[in-house]
Amino acid sequence: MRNFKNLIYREFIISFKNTKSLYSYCTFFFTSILLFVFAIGPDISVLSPIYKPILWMITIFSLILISESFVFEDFLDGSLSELQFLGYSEEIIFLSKCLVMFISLIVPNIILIPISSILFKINFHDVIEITALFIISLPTITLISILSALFSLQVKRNKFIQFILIMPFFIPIIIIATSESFFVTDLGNEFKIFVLIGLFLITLPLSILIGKLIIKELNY
Amino acid sequence: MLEVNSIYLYRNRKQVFKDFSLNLKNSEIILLEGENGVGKTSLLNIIAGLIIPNKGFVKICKKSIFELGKQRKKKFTYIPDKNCLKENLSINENLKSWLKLSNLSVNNNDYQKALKIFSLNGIQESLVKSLSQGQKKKVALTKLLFSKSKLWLLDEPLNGIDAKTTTTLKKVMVRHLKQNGSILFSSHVKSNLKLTKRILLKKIKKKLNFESLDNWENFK
Repeated sequence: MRNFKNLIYREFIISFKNTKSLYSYCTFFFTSILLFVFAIGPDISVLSPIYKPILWMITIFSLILISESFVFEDFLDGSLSELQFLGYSEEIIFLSKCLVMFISLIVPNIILIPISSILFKINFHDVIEITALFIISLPTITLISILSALFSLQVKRNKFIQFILIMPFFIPIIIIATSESFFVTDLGNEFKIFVLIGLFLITLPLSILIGKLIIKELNY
Repeated sequence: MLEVNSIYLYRNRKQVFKDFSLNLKNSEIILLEGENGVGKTSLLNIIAGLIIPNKGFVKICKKSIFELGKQRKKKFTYIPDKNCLKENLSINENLKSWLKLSNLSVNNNDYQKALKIFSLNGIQESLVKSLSQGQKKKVALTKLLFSKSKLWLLDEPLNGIDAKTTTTLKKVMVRHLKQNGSILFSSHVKSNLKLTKRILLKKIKKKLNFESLDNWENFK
């Protein structure tokens, strides 16, 4: 547990000193949202219904973009290997990166999602719903994003293969999260939250296992 | 102290090591020599537990490297060719983070003394990204001064450092040997250290060429 705390502390320091990646995340997010607004035009009846899919696609692409900074530098400067020969297990390394990425992304998203929803004239009730769904799904998509970054190192930074390999894993989350309101109290919508939590519980052990194997493989 | 027993390693369908063995006792220093790609770093990575050999085993203090687990950081200190430093952190932040990860505690007086040995005392608050390659190497080598382990594994420690730092490093290494420590290091640069053994690694064609020159000393 002490080792995990040390690792989390280290990751936090690195993450907060590296504001560049957080800045690129926010910039990419807003630029993409604005592009859609400008491309589609000011017609709210067209803009509002497509807000959720647009938001999710942009978020996932932004996450893939930012996730690289959590593993890429560690790989290049040798820190990833250093952590291993210091006796830290690959599982702990993977989990610490995911946890820090998740925590450092919650705050910007809580701010970014409501601001961007103003451009699409989304009502307050829906904004809360979208933000809540996003927070429930964020742990799962963080795990997949870090896995995607590790894949990109494994396949020698071949982005094309990375997207082919990883994108299908995001699809169930997008389908569940972008479907209709879960605040309506019927069984189907409550079921949606459980599905998202269920997806997280399936993704967690699988991504830890795959992440461990990739980190080990990177030494060769 | 260190026992490498009958190692076999294949990489990209090529044999890197065939029946390679090495023994390092207390107060001994072994230099690994060889041209690029011959397997010096691979050998050190095998000893550090980063690469699993296809056959053979490594024992440190009569225990397998994989049995050591969290004890690894107590048994040996590995300074790889890559500096393992975070560019956005200062020298102090990097070293203190490493100390924390290694579960080492150093009082401020000893910490300042260590920085002084490698002439880093005036620039300790500087960000690593503002340092030269030589200075970065010095920061990485400073870790040795905090280490309490008997076995040091150094990958190309003389790369990129000036004559004055080379002399300092040699003094540090000699002091470690006098304190009953052992050193295994690789280098392209000729050294005037009093070595226990020099091992020249050559590329394998059919059979591993292994040359050990016992009592090889005072290379001047």
